[in-house]
Amino acid sequence: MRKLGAIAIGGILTAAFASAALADFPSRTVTYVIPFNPGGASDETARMKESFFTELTGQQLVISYRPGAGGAVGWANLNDYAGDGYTIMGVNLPHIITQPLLGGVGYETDDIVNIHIFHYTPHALVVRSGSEFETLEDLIEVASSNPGALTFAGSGSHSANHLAQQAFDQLAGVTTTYVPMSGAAPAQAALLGGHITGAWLDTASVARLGDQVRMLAGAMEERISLFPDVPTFTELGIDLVGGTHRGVAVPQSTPPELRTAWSELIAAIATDPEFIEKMEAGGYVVTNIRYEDMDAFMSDRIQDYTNLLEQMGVLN
Amino acid sequence: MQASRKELAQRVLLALAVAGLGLAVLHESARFSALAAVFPRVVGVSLVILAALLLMQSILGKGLASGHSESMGHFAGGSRFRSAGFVVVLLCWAFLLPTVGFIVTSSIAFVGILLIATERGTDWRITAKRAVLGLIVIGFFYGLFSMLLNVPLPRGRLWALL
Amino acid sequence: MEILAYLAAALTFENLLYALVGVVLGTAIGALPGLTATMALAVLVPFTFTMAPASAMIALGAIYTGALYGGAYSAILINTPGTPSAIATTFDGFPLTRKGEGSFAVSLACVSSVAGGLIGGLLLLMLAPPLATLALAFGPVEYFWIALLGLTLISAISEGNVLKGLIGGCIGLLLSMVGAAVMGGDLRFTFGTPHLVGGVEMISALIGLYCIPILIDLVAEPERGLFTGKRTTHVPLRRTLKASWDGKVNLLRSGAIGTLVGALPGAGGSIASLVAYSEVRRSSRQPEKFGKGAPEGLQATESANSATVGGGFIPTLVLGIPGTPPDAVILAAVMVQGVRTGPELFSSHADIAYTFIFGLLIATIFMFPVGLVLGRWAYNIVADLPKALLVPTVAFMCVIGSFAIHNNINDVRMMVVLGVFGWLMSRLGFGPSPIVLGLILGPIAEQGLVQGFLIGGASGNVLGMFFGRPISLVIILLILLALAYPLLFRRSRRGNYDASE
Repeated sequence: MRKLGAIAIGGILTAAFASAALADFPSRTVTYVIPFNPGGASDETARMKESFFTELTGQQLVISYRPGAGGAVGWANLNDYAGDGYTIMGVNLPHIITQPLLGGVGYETDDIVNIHIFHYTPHALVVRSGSEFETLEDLIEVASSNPGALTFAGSGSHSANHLAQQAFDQLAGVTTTYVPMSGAAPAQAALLGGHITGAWLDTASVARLGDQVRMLAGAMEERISLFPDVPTFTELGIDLVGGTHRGVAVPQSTPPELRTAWSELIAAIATDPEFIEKMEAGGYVVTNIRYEDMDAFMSDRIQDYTNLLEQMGVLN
Repeated sequence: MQASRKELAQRVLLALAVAGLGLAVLHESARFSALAAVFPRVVGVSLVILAALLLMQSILGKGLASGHSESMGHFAGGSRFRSAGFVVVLLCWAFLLPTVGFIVTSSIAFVGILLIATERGTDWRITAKRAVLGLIVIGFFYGLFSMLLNVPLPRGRLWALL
Repeated sequence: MEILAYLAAALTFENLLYALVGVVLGTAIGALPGLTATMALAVLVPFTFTMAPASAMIALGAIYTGALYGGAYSAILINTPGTPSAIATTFDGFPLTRKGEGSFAVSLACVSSVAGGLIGGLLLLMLAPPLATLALAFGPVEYFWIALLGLTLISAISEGNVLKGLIGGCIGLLLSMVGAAVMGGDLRFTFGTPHLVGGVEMISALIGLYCIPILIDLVAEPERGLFTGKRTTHVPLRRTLKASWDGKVNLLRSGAIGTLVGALPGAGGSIASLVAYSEVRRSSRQPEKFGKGAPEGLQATESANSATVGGGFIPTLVLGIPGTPPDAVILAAVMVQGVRTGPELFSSHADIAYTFIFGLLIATIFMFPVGLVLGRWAYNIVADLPKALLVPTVAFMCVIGSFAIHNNINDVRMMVVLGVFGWLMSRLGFGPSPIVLGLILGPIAEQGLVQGFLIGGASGNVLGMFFGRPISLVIILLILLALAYPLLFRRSRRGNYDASE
């Protein structure tokens, strides 16, 4: 009995100690590694957090870059960093699921400890404002009578844009031609120049193009404030919901209490009305998937993306 | 014409090597997806054609292929040992960097290259002065990069073990 | 007269100070190989968060302008292009240094950059919307043809042996394919190692292929220094200004090319100076001087290079599509400040847009004194260092610089391995430039080609896609001219010989 009590007291003490240690966490500058080049959506949304983080903790959030192979170089090196809670790394979905599935990138999806996902950019099917297609119905009608004739640009092969195009083709029962480009900027240029029928972008990049383009539908759960007149795919009878999710991961050696602490820290930023307003103005949709819900969320996504890639016939 | 026969043999070997590279590229591109295979095939075929032309040129044409196209060859000659030593130091520097750390490898490599590149008959005191200057430069840039520019220069895994 | 109000807004003491400090910092950072304009901006962005949006953009634009110019120092003085856009600067810049004219070359680069920067900035101010429309007319196929136009430079710069130049170009194209493919997503030529999935990093390849072979040769010769000529002690200002005045047509044309090509989103920055270089060489009466220290070549590349700053901002400001990677960083920085960018910027935030453009022009003018002073300083450092100290110092800069590109040790290894490879290749008569041209232009050519096939295939007219579009036809004509010119030129020279016999 006494022994049990001692354990109980010990347990309480440890918990108290841990929370005392966490009370002043973080107590120095944190490095936030972005596995992409500066200037992209991952960089921008990381920078958005900077001032809120400093306000909340009194510490600096220093952004550092480790780009290469669509993020793979950074993620393959994530677990080499010290797990003291002072290095975090940006993660993107579907990237961290599709890259290991396709193989050869030097890491597995399970190697990455995701602690929080704070926003996503829904897929958006976009045409030029001068385009003949006024609605999604128009486009589907033409696409179904001319298989392969409509061309859609997107950023890269097997990327979020490509998966969206594939999922759309399946759900709408049409065949379109996907034209991979080396990034969002060339895809947007090809779109505005009228070299392609349309493009698969996301809501954030559509927000920047203003009224030069018309978004036919977006893959969000419900309409978003920035585009009140744009229907969701679901409204139009196509069950396409999703986009690029962005979150934060830590090295595997990071102890559980620090993982939870980080998840709470980021949740505190991502529930701040001022932050949400800033993000929404940029076309980002804030969401909060916490550390404790991460496993369930990830296994759903892994299932979805594996199915999609299998149907595309690119998994060996 | 002994020298030119040797030269001819070299050129034929070169042409064969280029053709081999082209064929290897074509072979490799067989397993790529349709979109990814287009360009490697174009380049592979080009290499094979260029190799054939190079072979014809070396058999038919004389002297056409000589002469460096760029001003690279000016320093040709000199001591092979110094060059080889420099290359060895560079390779060690690049491959030991993460293990031994940036400051240590850079300091050793800097002094090593300094010694290799030092003119004959230089007073050792001058060399020592230069080495100290080099270490100051390394320290300065280490500070500049790691503190001001947020570049995480490797500290060295070896030291973490000790 | 509203415009003048914006000019006045740009001319506050604070903004002038930001522009000056930005240019100095940018030039200093850009002068170090491996530190790119993108990186300089990313590091300095947090400092602008406390500034007003227009001032922040002025500071960032000034850093960008300075960093592009600073890249010319390492290209001219130690044959190390810090960015892809500076490779053509090495073609004639470094031979000038070799002849002891490094000080002249650096000053000339400064004046040319100021000229190009002003042309780009003024075109941005006055003709941005029509130029943006023109840039949009370039589709995937036009990108493909432009990349081919750039590749024709190979035959021009390897006159000694065109075959070897072309083989070198193919090797460069192969290197450009290493890693995950944009088209198709396959892993190509990675030999099963994850280290190669990211591909060959362009800047570490540039540092390795251009700088390391020079160092290896320099080490072998303990007696001789880097320069064969006499070292100049003063800034040859009068001579520089005269050469600039004589080359005014070249500066104007190259600046215009730089602005237009720079306005092509994604591809423009690195190609603009190559296109300008091949144009000035083609139109020159003495094309054989190029590559051996022709001031015209240096003027063309530096003018075009700096004009891409203004050019790149055309799609950035008018369309909301970043023209170059540094533009994307500046856009993101302004976004974080809560300013919506994109086409609305010109209409609803005209004050910010115009104040920024004037700030850019002011920064470009500041570059003249700053560039001359810093350039002289850089020249003196390189010229005064004894060779025994120069070699390890430059090697150190190569190592730290190639690490800093992406904070990745593999880039350092790639740099060293490619450097040794480049040295061996140069012994076999293969220069580094064809390889580098293949490496830079390969992705643009490949993507344009495959995208053209896909789009042409979807409309059932692949041939018409490649050969039936007016802009394509113009570029094809330029390609044919560039290819035919050396032949025509050689024939006419032979003709002269015949006459003298």
